Amino acid sequence: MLVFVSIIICIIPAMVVLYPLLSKIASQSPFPEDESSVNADLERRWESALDGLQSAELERSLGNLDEEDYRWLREIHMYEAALVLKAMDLSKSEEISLMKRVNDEIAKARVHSGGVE
Amino acid sequence: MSIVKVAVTRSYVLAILVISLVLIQLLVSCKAPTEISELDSRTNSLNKSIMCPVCPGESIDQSQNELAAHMRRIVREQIDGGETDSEIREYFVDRYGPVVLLEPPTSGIGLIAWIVPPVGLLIAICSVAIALIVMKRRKREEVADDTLSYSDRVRYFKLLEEGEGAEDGPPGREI
Amino acid sequence: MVEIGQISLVAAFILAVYVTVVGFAGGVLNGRDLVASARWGFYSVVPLLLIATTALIYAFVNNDFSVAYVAENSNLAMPRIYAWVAFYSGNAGSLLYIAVAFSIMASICLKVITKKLPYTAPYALGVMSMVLIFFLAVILFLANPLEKLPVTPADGQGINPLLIHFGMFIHPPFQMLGLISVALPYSVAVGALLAGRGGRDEWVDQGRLWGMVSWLILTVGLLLGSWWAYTILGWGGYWAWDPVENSALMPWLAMTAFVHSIMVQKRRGMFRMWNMVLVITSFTMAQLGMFINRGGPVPSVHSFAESTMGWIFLAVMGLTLFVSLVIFVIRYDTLKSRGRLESLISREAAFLTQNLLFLLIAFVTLWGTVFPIFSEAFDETTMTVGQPFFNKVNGPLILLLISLMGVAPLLPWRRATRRALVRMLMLPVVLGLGIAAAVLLLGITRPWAVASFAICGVAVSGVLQEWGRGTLSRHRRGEWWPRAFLNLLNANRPRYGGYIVHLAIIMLGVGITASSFYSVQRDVVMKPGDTETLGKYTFTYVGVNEESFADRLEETAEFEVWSGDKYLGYMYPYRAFYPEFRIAATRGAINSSPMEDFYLVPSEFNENGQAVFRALINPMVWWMWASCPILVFGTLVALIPRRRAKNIQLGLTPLTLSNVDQNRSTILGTED
Repeated sequence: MLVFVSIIICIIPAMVVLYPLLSKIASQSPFPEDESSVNADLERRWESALDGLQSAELERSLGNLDEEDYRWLREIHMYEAALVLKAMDLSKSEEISLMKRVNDEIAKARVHSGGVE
Repeated sequence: MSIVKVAVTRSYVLAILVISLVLIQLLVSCKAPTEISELDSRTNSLNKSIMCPVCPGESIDQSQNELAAHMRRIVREQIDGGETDSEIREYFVDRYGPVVLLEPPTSGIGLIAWIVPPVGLLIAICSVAIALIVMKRRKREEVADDTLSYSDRVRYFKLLEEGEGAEDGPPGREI
Repeated sequence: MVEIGQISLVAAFILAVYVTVVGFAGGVLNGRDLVASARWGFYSVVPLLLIATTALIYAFVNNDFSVAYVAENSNLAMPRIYAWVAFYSGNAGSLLYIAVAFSIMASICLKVITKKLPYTAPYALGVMSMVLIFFLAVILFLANPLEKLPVTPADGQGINPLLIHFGMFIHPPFQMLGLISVALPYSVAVGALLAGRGGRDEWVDQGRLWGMVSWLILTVGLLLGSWWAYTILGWGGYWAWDPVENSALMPWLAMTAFVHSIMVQKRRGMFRMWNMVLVITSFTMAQLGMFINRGGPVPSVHSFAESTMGWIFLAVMGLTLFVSLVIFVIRYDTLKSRGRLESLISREAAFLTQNLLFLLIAFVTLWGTVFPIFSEAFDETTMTVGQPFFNKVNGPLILLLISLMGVAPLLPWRRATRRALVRMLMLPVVLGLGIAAAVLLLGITRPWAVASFAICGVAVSGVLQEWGRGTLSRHRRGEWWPRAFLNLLNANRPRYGGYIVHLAIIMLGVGITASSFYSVQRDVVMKPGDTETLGKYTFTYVGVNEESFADRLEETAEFEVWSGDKYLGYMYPYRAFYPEFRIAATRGAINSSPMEDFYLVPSEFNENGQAVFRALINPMVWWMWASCPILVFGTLVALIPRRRAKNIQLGLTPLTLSNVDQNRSTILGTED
């Protein structure tokens, strides 16, 4: 009885662990979006620009910001947001150069992740 | 003067609200602190500063051990007998060594215990000051993308501003 | 059953080693199948450890004294339900508890970060499974709770009587969970470093999430412990700066610093290096905590019996610290800041100051805790460092911290002019001074207490001012007051959730100030029928009821209590003596109100009918316990995630000029 149970305890995890290796599901599914890609970075910067705009608005309505500071902050964050937009638009200027760009981005992203699979 | 005026006009409603809240709070919790006799108070604070030698890390005030109770009685007797706080402490130190006091004495190696924290505070203040000054000076990291030209800026800012009419709410306008 | 448990432990250990090796290999080689295999392996450890845990609890419930640990920590007289408590009350069992609890938490974390940080996750997984390997190795080779005795005794030694209380169901598990949960943000951060993916703030969202989860557990653990000490241990206090208490406080301090400064990194891309250092420090302190808990180098009421165990924890802590720092140095150049500090009057600067204060308090706590060892090594006299030292030194520092807590949230990000500073601080400072005056008028004259109440007043006013102004400005745009307030809260959840937490901390501060400075106590000798007073309370000792049990003698005293003229009813403090352990456990009887607690606890019952009691009045302790649910609520509010904008997807579909409109609405379709 004990032997039986211990075999079960050892076999099941072994099977669970071997299954992905043998069936190779993971490598056949599409690549997940790389958290370090330029894409993801742009998204983070976009969010932080928006956060900045939002909090500048809030601080102004609370009276913690002078008009001058508020305008300065707004300018800074809009600049950042505009940069992100431009970075995106850069890849849409022409179809050919676009595809090249996109492929470049993908290649860059691949290099960052440390190897080809 | 104008600062005061600004502060007052902007927040008078708020101030009234806050002040009334605070006053209610105070009224609810107001009471003069309970007084106990001077002797009792001295006994308590002495008890809290002497450790029970057989209990790990507890004061004789805290511990329910028999030795602790016995020591508390001694403390009380000595207070009634007119000894000063330091004399009573010395009495116990003579018997059990300096380990029986719950704070290191301000002489000998115990002094180091007291000196290190203020020194630490000083170092911390200096570090913050230095870090802030250094950070202020540091050049802004060069943006990898091209910087925006004037026409770019006009175009994109317009894009962002116009988004403020969009149905999901303007970016940044909502608080 | 016990044997099954043992096999599960071995299997879990082997599995953990496999997961570590394969997880790291998969990360380095970019082998997604390897990573998937490692992941599933990690998830599989959970059921294995649950089997081992079940085996142990089963042994307790069935009084199987052939298991050494069961014999040491329970006996026939122990109520069955305390099997749960006995499980983790000893050294070996607590290790198993930590392993199983950690494996569950880490699995949840792993599930989330696999989705959010797919290329960092394999490395984080490797780190987490190494933590697991450590605990399983210690269990298997040093302190196996399922080890059997050569001869089965007839009865066990029994559980420490102080542990027979329902508070023990929650406080130690929570505390231990909190300490090990620090490993989660640590794994994410170090995983990102190892993966070479820390330079663009990829890990910040998850770092913040798991940091706050860990912080919440640590905070609740500390509050529960204080509550338990106060209501159960019967000395009328709640925090003694005991080494084990300190060892739980230190990682909490570092974690609090971390969850604040990680916000700066999220917002501005600054403090990248600093946050790494902070999270490594937090984890080191958590490990140090485990060492102090088990090592026994410093005497404590909490210590587990064994002492050789501790040095392993210390060694591993040293190794972890060393390796983390090496990795940090290697990846150092990826961690340069994106943003720059524009002004000294800014939230960023305030956060840095706050961070250093937290670390200073942690350092002072550490210093005081290890000073006895230091003094013995250098001077051959052992000094004790107890409450008086910590109160005198940490007290002012904590007060400084609370002042900062009151002021800093009012500072805007990046920059504020001095004029704005005056405008935002005027009301809180005025109110603070007003409170100081009011407090003095009420007869509270001790300077530190006055300062503390005033500073709490400033902090509360700061929060209320912002809530008031924010609601007002929304109201002006046409929203009804309550709606305006709720919408304000909802639109800025991290910020306003944080404010709720700050309010809870202020409640805590007020309670601690009042009870630290204005507690009074008196020891009285009474015979049945005697009446004594303390303050406005009058209490009459009616009599004592003795009850003898198999393992203890319980003496319950009966009191009738009045507050002024108002009859409060009966109170029943009691004392139980366990002859086998030679321990007396007292339980105080507490009459609690928001204003103060009236507390009665017995010291001794003498033969001649006389008894010694201690009566205490502890002001405002109620506020401390009331702060806990508010704190939890605030943290949860701050944690609710924003609806993610599904906008910028570079994607693989070409964006042509004709897509501008679609593109624009996609870009600007952000929801806040």
